[in-house]
Amino acid sequence: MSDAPPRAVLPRPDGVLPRPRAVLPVTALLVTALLVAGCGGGGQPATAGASPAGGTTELPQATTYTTLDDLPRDTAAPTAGGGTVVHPAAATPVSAKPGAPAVAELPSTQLKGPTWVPVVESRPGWRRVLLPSRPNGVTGWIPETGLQTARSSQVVKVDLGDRRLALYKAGRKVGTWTVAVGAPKTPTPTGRTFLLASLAPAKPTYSPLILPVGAHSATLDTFGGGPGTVAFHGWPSNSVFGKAVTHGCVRVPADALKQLAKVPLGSSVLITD
Amino acid sequence: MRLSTLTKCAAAAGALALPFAAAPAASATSGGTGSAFAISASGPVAIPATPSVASSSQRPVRKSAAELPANPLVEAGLLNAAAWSGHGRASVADLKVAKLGLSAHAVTAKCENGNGVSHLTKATLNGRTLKLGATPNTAINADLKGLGTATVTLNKHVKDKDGSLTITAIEVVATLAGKTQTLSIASVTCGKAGDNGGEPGQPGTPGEPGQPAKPGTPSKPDTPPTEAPAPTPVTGDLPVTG
Repeated sequence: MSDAPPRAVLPRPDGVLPRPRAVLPVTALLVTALLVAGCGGGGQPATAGASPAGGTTELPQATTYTTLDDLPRDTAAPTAGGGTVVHPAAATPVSAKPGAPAVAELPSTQLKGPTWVPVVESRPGWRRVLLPSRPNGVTGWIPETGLQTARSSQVVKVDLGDRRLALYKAGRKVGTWTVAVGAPKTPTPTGRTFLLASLAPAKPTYSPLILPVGAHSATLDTFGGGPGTVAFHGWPSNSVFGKAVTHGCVRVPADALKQLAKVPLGSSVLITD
Repeated sequence: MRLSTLTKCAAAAGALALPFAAAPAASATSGGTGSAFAISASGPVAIPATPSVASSSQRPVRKSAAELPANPLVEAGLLNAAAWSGHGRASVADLKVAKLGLSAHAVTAKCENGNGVSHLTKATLNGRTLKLGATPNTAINADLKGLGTATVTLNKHVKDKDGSLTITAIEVVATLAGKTQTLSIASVTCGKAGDNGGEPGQPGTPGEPGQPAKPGTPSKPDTPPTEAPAPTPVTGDLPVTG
């Protein structure tokens, strides 16, 4: 039972679309697709939000909905890095190398909240950042110009083997919790990623808060109509904690969720086997 | 008045022309990697950092370029960049950005052990004379005659949390037809001085310019990175992998 997909997470059309209850599965998928496209600004530059005037650009958007194949991957060992996080004030071009032509654009918002991404490498005038797109660990170089820079001293570590989540502040462990992780056929992806957004569903079902990260399920191209984004969230029943039962997400106890809710966006999330 | 300005300009340019004479390389016992580039652009017109150098050695590593890669945005004469432990230097001669109406005889930036300065010589923006040594992070908005708008930041100082400083003599962020174009001219980064870093020399410190420029609206100085904010939950949902 605990392995059941979180059906309630399917976009609920309450007050959004009429006649929701009687739709056929196919229609439901379409509705889902529409909702998804409409909620995250994915795919189409025109929905990038930050720069309405930028609607003419053809560059793919670096969001949780897209796949960016022409960019370098994060090959470093999964360490927390320097803790520097940046927020682009406006849509920012993303290049494969410092100074190379832009191949994507990082919008200033993700999932309706501000974009904050971690810096993994710096060159004069340029920052290499983790991006929220597929494939997992995709990075890109963005010009330092126009970036708001901040620092996060918090790091989230998930040990899939131990099914434990630990929260660190300034290098000090401030909490550990037993959590539920991906089932063997739908494992939680390992590597370095980051907190992407903080979402409060209008009508929470299984969790009052959804904290998507930059990574995606490697085995599910889509899930529930979404792009297979991995997230931290709560769960109504404590019986799941300590088990490998999810579709990739990390289900955490209420107290952990409360602590994770205060972790700045862009903070490193390190997932190891 | 004018003569005195020119004299001071010349003095400053002269001092900057031989920047290494005043900085014995051996004095830099710490300070980590220094880096520098003369020109870089991103956006519709992308120019890789030219020339670009980063070094933590005790002796300066210098790179020069006689010209920029072909591009429709910016023209320049000699481009220099040099870096060594705790130090960065960059200069651009005969800069011209026609679209912005920006030109300068010389643009330089230097950084020593976490301190530094940048200078403009005979610089004008849309006919306005720019200060030789602008207050750090002086922002000027420019209208691009219907093509868009641009913000020109002079003497941009950005302090990193590790104490290193990046100084960019001129930084342009322009919005052209809805796309963001950036251009950085003479940018240097250096680490903070260690115990033996010594006093950063300021051979090029200019006197009062004879013709104070109108600096436009000064921007908020860049603050050093502060702790990132706790996120504010956004009402919404994303079908995640349960």
